[in-house]
Amino acid sequence: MSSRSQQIGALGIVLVFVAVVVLLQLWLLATSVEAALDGDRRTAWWAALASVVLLGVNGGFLVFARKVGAS
Amino acid sequence: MSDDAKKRSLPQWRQDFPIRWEDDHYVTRRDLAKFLTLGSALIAGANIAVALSVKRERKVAHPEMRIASASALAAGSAVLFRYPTAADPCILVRTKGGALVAFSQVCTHLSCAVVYRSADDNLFCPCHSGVFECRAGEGGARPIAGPPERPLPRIVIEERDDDVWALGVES
Repeated sequence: MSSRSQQIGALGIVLVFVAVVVLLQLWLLATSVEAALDGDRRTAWWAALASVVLLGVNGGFLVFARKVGAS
Repeated sequence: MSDDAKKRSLPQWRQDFPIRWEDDHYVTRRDLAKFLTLGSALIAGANIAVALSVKRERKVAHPEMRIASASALAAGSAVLFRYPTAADPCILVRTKGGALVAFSQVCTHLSCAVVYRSADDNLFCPCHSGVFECRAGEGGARPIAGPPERPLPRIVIEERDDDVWALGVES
């Protein structure tokens, strides 16, 4: 397999992971809204923290995608 | 065929406007990854905003309002009223045990109007078959069946002589 096709494959996999992480964040947002309506601060803050961690993961994926593209 | 020859073989309008719409609007995988990461950042920001907006439980005092006559309400019956505004439907119930309780009539699932079922002494939402307890005290209308997950807001009431008065809403 050529290096170019490997890069394309790697980028495709990264995209799938990023999309899954975004879906997880959407689920966390729904959970956070439910908790907020219930007056449950603890759950809302844990969901927000988890969302920020997932954002970091997505940022890492983006950096990886850039490195793959640059190489 | 050389590039110049290829270019000259194109129609004049194509030579004047060489940029192709499809190529100009082509979204690369990297652009898509950037876009998704931006979306991820927006969702995380929204999540933080929601967490910051959480309000603690509180009792809100509204102007008092007379609801009904206490003696006119038999055990196992209910009366509807609107409090604190005309847009807030509520329900006053005399439970089978004789206690007087009042709650918001708006189901916490998808805002349908709950009804009192005297046979089961509970509050029932006909839209998605949600069931709430109907008893006095803290958390007196917590959901016990169906999709609702939050209790109905309690209306703070007081009996004065033979009248039942609404004093505020406990959210």
